[in-house]
Amino acid sequence: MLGGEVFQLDNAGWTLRFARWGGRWVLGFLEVVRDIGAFSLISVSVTLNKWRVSPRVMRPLIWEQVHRFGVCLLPMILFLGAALGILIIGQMVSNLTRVGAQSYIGSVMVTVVVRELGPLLAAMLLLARAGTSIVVELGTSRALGEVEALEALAIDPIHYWVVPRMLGLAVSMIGLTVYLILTAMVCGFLFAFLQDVPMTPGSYFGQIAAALRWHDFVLLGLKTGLFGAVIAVVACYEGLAQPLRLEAVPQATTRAVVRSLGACVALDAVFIIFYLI
Amino acid sequence: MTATHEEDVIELCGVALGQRGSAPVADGIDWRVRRGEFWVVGGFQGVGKSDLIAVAAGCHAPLRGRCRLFGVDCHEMEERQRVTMRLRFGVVFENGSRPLHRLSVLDNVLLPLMYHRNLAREEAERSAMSWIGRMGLEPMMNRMAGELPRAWQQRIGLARALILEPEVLLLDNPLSGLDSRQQDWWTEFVAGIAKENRRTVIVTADHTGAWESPGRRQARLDNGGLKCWAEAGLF
Repeated sequence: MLGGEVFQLDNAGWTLRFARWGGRWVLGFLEVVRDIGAFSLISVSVTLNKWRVSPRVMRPLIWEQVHRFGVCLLPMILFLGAALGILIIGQMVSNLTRVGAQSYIGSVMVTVVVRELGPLLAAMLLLARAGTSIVVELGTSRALGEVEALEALAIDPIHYWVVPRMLGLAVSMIGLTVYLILTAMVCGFLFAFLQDVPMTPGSYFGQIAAALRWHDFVLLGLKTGLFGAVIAVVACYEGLAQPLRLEAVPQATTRAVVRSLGACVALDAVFIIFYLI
Repeated sequence: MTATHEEDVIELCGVALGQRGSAPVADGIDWRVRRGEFWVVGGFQGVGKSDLIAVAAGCHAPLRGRCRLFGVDCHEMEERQRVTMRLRFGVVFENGSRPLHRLSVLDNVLLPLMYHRNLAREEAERSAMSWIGRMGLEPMMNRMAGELPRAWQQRIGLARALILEPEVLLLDNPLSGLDSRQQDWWTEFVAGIAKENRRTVIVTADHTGAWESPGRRQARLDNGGLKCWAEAGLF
């Protein structure tokens, strides 16, 4: 009898503890969403309000980010595109042809590569290369007191540091995704061709072109641009928004990677609604 | 406090200093700085000298009290007015003066000029070179600021603060960690700068001995507030 009561109490205790843990987690999550949302709104507002401020300083900074995280990432993105083409598209084309479903190649390619896999893979690469580097850069700058130095010079740190990264990464991400998709498609066809799949380049690319709609281009540009901007904003938030000690920079980098990835996947889910409409 | 005089540069009234969310390190500060004055503010470490500089330059709002810069209340300033006001102040921070570590010495000095005046790089470089020369930074101007010893970083901070010709120069414990040769250079250079264009200079220091000179005003900051003296050498 007594044992049963203790067991029931234990059970109630665990439920209560789990509910508390869950509640804390949900509240913490909502707080992070609120803070990153507020930081994003501030960044967008600074971008729009200070669009014409100091173009001689700001334009080279934006192009520097495009060069660092766009042009310099091109060899890696071409390699990734080739791997995607050979490992997935080539085999998919070969298998679809084998079961006589060649007519679906265009729509499958557009759904899988153009809408989903291409943007997500490019985002992961950009996150690994640019997101981490931004947190370390800005976290170190914050820890060394450079934010206060800029404020004393009447330079807004969001304008000087966040805006070029946000715009630079958005532009880089659009370009990288386009190169990734094109490379994957070409390499996929080459792999299928080497496997003696009876399909001409004309019919392969013709089917893809026929499956593409105008809104695919618009949504691809919008989605990839937003992925780039989100990665930049989350990384800048983790590096800049709170006072950091140098020892805290690695933890901030890990947080930025996890949160950026979560934000990109959530954004991707939102875009699925647009594709389904 | 009496009505604002047109020569007043900084007016603090009942100001409390410290970090938000914690108890003030100094409270009840009343202070008036007039154009062309040279102030030396002494005090032990941790009494709020850096906070005093940040509030006096309009970088931070005080925890309590009123702060007026050139007759304008800091709370009433709009964003544009705040930027214009901040350009009238040059600030040199303690311990290396926080240069932007990933920029070269030249780019650190050029940044405020190019950002606020939107000058072409060549034009900005011509103006910057005279300050870089005066600071003795020419041989290392293409090196990254983060690679240089702290004493040279401090001079980068001074060149960066002076490049826009501010009316008020605030130096936060500039002699900290410098050898006697560097200290002599700083005291001599700042004395010369103060005479140019009737510039107002405020220097904080743990030990004020190196800055004492006839005609300079002196104050001491402690937990009880700021005690001001008319002339230096009266501690």
